[in-house]
Amino acid sequence: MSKLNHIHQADLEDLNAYLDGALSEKEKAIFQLKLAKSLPLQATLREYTFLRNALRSVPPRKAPRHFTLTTEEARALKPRFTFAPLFSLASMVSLMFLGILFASEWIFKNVSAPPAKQADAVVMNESAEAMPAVPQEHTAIEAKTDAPLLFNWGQGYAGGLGGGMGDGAVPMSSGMAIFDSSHNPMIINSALQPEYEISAEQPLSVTAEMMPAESAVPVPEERPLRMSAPAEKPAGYTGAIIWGLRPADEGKVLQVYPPMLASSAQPVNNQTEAETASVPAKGKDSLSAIVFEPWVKYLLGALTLIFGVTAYVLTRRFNRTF
Amino acid sequence: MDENDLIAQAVRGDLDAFNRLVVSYENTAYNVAYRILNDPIQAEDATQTAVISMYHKLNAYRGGSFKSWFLRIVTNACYDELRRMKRRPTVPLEPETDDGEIVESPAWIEDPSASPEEVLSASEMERAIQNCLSGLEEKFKTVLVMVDLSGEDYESVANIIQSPIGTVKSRLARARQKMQECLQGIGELLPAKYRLKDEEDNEQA
Repeated sequence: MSKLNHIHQADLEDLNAYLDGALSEKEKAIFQLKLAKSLPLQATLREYTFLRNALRSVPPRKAPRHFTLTTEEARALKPRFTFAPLFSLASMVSLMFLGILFASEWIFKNVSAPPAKQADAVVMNESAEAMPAVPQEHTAIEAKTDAPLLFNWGQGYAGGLGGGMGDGAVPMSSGMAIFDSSHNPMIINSALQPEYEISAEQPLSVTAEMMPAESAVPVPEERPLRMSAPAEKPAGYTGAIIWGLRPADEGKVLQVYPPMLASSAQPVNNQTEAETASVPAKGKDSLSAIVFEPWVKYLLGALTLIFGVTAYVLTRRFNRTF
Repeated sequence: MDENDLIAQAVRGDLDAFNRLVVSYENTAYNVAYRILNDPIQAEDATQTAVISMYHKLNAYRGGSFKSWFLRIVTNACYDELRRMKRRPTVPLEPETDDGEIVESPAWIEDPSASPEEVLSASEMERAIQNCLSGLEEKFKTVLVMVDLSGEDYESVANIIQSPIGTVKSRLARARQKMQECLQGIGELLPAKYRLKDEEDNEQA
């Protein structure tokens, strides 16, 4: 044992290979030189030679019987067709779909949504920093309610989101009017175009009909809005912000993500539920909605379980014959 | 008929050719299984399992040493048996004398052709080796059994355990080192013929 401690593991491996004649001529010559100089190596070689001879002197055992196969055994061992692999594959496919379903749902809920909220928050913060303080009377009005704010993209003259309207038309301003759910108007200013003014020909107006009867704030019946009016999100306002719709989109149910929520989507503006139901769903969207329905997950889970158990039972029954 | 012809016929479904291949290697397979498992009944089971497995996998044989390929199947069957034993350990039913004492060296495993002295010393040595083998890890035991008890060369063993030759060398070195330490520990119990050189030197001194 003490001798072995003085011998490097690589030398010990070479010694064994030398003993078994597994070294090449070059390796053998190198090892013999090393062996001639090392007494511990020589002693270990003697011990290992003796050990190897002792191991090889152990008499081989005769097999107690023949292990040949009879014709009947061979016939029984022939591979037979079984549905087990098919069920196994079906189970794996169901499991894969289930996984994809959960993953996509998780992505919709946790990956897509938060960045959008964060981006909105950044934009709002930047806008708020660039804007002067809102007049006190507006703040007081807004602070009364937690209803969501409505950002209106402007009336018919905006020409779509970012689209021009040609000569003479008023391009859409990055400034926009804000309404709370009680239809109290307030004006915010664009940081990009603070001095922009809406023309009198197509005024952005708030009519008296839009105002609730209980509103305590007097509102002019119709007046051109000056977009340079300072505004910011009122202090203490905690409600959600709803971006308004283009006039062309009013009354329609827009895309809802994840699609499974589409069934519970409320009609926008003042459209009734009956009207919403009458809106024909597009084929792709309806398919997505079905895929995200909870019963689809239950079905896939059940199929995975049934196919897996069936494959297991068939495999066990098949193997038992051997 | 040479081995390649037998293999080709067996692959085509000739049961007689397959059985002739089995008979050629069954003793080697059984010995390897016995040394790894240290139990004749389990070795028999493992060998039979390996033969059945070989029958199933014969189409997957892609040339090379048939013996190495078969011994690889035997080794895997032994590993399966060892795993099964670990999960469900069993108590062997050893034959007993009239006094109720267990006979540790049953007569049926002894070589009837040797003299009583030779049988005694050989069986003691074999028992000592088998005890030391049992204490080795599977990976070391397999290499030692293949090289020293079954007489396979390094390349064949590398093929059987599906590892590089360097791995065979290092495992064999470790296995022999452990075996030597183990046999030195029980060396005094062995007949002088089987004692290690150092012990003989110490006795002479």
